[in-house]
Amino acid sequence: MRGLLLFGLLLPLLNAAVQGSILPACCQVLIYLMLAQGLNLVVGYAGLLHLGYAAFFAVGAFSMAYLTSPQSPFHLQWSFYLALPVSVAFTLLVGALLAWPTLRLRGDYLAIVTMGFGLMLDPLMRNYDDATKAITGMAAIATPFAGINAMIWYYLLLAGVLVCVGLAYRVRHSSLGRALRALREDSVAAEACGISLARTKLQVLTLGAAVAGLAGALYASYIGTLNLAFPFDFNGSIMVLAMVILGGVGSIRGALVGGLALGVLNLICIPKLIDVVQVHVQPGLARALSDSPALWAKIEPWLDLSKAQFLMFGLTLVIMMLLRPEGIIPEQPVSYE
Amino acid sequence: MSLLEARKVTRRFGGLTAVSAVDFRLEPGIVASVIGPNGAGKTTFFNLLAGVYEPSEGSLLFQGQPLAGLTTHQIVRRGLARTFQNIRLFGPMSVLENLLIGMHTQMKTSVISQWLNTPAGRAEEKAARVKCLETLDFVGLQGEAHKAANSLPYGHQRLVEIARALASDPKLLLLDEPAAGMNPSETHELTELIGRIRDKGITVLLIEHDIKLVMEISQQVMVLDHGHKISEGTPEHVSKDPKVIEAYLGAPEE
Repeated sequence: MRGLLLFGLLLPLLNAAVQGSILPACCQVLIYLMLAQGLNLVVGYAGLLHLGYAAFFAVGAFSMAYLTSPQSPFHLQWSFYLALPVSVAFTLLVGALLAWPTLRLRGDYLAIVTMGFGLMLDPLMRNYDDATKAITGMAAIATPFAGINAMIWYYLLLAGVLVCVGLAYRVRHSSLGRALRALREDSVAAEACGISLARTKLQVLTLGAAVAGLAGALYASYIGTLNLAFPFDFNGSIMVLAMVILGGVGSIRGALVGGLALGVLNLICIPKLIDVVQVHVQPGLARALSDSPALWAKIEPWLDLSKAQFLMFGLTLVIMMLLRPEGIIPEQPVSYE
Repeated sequence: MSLLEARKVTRRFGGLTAVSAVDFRLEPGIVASVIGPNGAGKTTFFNLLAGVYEPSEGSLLFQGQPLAGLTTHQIVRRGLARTFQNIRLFGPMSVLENLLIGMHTQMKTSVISQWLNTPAGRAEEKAARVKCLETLDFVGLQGEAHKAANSLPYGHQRLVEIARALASDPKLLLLDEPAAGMNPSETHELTELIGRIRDKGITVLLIEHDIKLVMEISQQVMVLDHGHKISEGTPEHVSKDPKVIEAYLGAPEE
């Protein structure tokens, strides 16, 4: 893990050395890493299948935009430093409110309710675009300071990831973490040990929402212009869930590695591959097949790999889950030695 | 004042009356047993005490306070801990962590201060570990603290479950067939352990099929059959009661 952290710290320098342009994509990966840690609390620690996590990410991001953007319907234009804690607190509150009616639900039913919330928020905000600016979007969202660049953002978001990892670590070693594991293993026995199932679930769902709120608020400030698109919809929820499961459910390092693997794959590798095919493979093939235009006409439309982005993503997931179904770094029991 | 009092407690499941108008008083500081043939309603009676079910009729008092409306975890907080007929440990976790979970109700530091890793939180956690290790010594499982609970032999898993219940610092300990599946020497050690638990001032109420164990350790025995209390008293009294002999062996032929 130290190696990973060192690499994370040195990455912008490496990027500058080779005059690369991957920092913006890396910043997005860092956002995903925060989300993966937050969802791992709910899905991994507590064993509660949550299918609407991206909706809380959206709540955090839109709170930030509403509070700070000059185009916000509320015209508040708060500073970043005031809007950040308020956005997190508001998302936490939404998380608690949504958790309340689900406390008595188990397994699949909780998954259905959270999925319902995730699916509902998106069209609701779109349909009320006049009020929500979900499609129109909001620009000039406040940043920590004027003239902030990608490298500073990178380090800020890296710090955010460290905060989330630290939180996950402390929860794992607290009595809440123990209560969550107990609840996941055997809820009847957990109750017989004096653990309140409702209270414990409420705590972890609220906490998970707060982490998503933090990630969302930082994301909104980072990208500057916000409208309701990919990472906020159901696909976004599944993406984060895939990171947690791929990395190893319940494992902090697993969520980091899973988030890194899928984030890098989705935001860096696949776009690069699409580029390479378009720039190099396509013209070469076109020259080679210049004698038989009929064949070329058949092949050409398939060379636009951006249309197959989700296919590549899904295939990678399937292959990795076949090779290592328990995840890349499975959860280890807490050692008290 | 009785530690536990059941007043005309009845529990029905649809048309079946599993426990029927049972009156029961348990004085503190003793070992008492509930016996009866299979299906007599013993486990249902336990589940009523532990708050898994609410009585259909009648009331339960623990230390003079009604248990009605309390959930299982609230009842544990009042000082009533239990074990299960089929062992329910947190299998992949270490024995020590199982006990720490049992101590959940004893942890007073707030979640926030645990996250901030304050000295008070660390001290409490350390004290909790020491106490759990002492409890493990007490049940005779010293040296097993760091093994996964499901890696222990069956008899030891039963002891871990008892230790986990003791970790909540109960006033009354409910043991549901603790000797089930144990060999004679393990049963002997268990009998001796139950005696030491009582000597610590913890009242023990057990369901048990091993009549030898029951007769050896109990000061009070209640016999249930088809949900009714058919006999109650000292082990000697109960074992000579014709109604009990009839319930177990059938009525003598005319």
